[in-house]
Amino acid sequence: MFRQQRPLPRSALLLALIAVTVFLVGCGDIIGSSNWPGLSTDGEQLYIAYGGGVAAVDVETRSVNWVFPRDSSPTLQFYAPPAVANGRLIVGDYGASQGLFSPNLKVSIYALQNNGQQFPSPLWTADTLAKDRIIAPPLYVNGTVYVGTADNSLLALEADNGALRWRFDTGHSIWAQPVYADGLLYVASLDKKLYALDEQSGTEVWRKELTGAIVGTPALSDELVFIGSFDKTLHALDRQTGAERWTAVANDWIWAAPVYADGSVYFADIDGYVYGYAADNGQEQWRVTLPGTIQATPVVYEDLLIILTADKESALDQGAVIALDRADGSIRWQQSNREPLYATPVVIGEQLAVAVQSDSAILLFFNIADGSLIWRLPPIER
Amino acid sequence: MWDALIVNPMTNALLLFYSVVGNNFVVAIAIFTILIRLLTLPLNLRQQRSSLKMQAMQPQIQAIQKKHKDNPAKMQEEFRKIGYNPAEMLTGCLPLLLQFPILIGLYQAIIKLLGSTPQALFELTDRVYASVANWVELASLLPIQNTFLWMNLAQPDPYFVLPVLVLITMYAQQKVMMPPQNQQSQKDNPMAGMSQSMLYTMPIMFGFFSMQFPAGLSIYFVLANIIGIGQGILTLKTMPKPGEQPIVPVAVDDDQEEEKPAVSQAKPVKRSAKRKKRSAKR
Repeated sequence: MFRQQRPLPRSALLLALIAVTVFLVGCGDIIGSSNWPGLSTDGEQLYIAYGGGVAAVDVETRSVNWVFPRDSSPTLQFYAPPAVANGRLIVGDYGASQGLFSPNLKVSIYALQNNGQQFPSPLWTADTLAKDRIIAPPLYVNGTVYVGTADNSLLALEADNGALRWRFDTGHSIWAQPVYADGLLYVASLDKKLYALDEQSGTEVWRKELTGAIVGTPALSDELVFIGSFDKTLHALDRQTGAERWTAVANDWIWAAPVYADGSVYFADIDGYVYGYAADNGQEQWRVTLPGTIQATPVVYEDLLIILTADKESALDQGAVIALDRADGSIRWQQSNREPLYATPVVIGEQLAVAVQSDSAILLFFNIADGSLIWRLPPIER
Repeated sequence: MWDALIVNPMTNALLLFYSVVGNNFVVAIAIFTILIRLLTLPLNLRQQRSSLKMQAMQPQIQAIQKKHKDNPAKMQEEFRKIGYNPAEMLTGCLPLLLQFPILIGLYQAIIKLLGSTPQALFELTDRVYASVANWVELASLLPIQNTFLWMNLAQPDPYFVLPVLVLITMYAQQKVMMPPQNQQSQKDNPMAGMSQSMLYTMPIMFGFFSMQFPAGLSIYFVLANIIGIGQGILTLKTMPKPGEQPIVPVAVDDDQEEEKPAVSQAKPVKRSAKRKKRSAKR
């Protein structure tokens, strides 16, 4: 009774408020930073960027050759898959806090000598150019590395030493890997614009403004550049001028990047619709509906179009790997998965590598011919 | 449950404001702050008044505590007589308690709305109510414009301007909310001592943490503090000044005169025998 009369509850509340604040500060990075895994390959190894590092997976021996960086850090995260070209690996991180008294992130872009199964040797690190995380996979072209950043810039770096050649600023974050063809770089930004830049100088050649954000990488045919947007429309633009040649209206937002192959362009929306269009005139060839939503970019393999789905409403399996016939969209095979599938898969040899966010596995490998599961890679212990 | 009751409504409200004010996230946060302050205004006023009242009654409370430290029942009775109810005082802490869900919920809502990774942006679409999504034309609204002046609203302010503003405004708010005290009262009154310590620790703590918080949340703190300062000034103006309308304690006992509290704002008034009886029955 006597204790009731003291102002202890206020002190307790104050202490609890401090505890909650400390919790918020401590968990800030975790809450804001997670993302789907990123995959890439050089045909020899598979590279997966997920969480604390980038791992090189040997598909032949079914083992992990190395994980970069060698020492894990609780604040350092990687989700953008590395660019692999010319014996080099280029990868960017999500930025590391520089301590309690510094609000700035230290975001680094690493160039590594690819030593195959051996741990890669560092070539250079650029850690002052990007102010916010690297979400877009870098692009390596003709001795230059192009890196899109979440602080709205496209950086062009010398591949040999990481020196900045030029920087191009957009109105919002760049999440999509840029695409290069015939001296032009095509850069999609969340500012709802697609930019065509001169590869040498970084000057803008043209821009196309849409009414929705663009998160997927553009696809190129000989004459056209295809881009999907939150405006529920696939836009086919002239590669040289940016003039709109044709559009195709989807059922919902287009999140996944479109893919072009053999005169057709394929794309999917987040409502589970997959479309096949004639690339030259925008004539619809087929469309199919799959359960769930589609964020992962479709993958073309011979006459197959591989689609990954996520259906969080489903009580049982929430993901599926589905192979469609490119000719008519009919299902050739499908494999269900307990977890929803969001990350774009890659083909390595005869295997389809699919990243999952699960406690029991981080990678699933399917026989791409018939969809049978070959093996799974458990989470990497460090 | 937490998301459905706290985070999602906040997320949708912020999105609505963002749409209404022409895609300015800082203005959306400002409207949200004003709304939250209006909703909690009755509680805040009550808390402030209760705090001021308790501050004024401290001498009497301490005297009773000292006198009846071995007789809790008597102590409670005397508390009732002077109009002091510890349980009622506890409800004065409610606004402080309300800060918890608001703080955590808003922090999460800002992080989620700014959708700083593809996964975060995609998960945001699940949180937006269908009616809100249709009304605001979500596809054209996202992603949220995350820059304001030199700041990325999802990142801490790189030039420490917001942390300093948080510190200054929170200090000013604490100062305004705190009743004037003399040195003697601080010495004798643990409540006053704690208020003094909160006057410095809270601003320093929040200023320090604002160095790590997203700038959007720090803006909320600054705005909430500024509104709090205004509210505090208003309350002080409407509260009776010491001497004008004193809190009238009742004589604790017949021998109270022998143990007058060191600082008292009013003279004890003896009650009639009848009222004493009624009080004893209660």
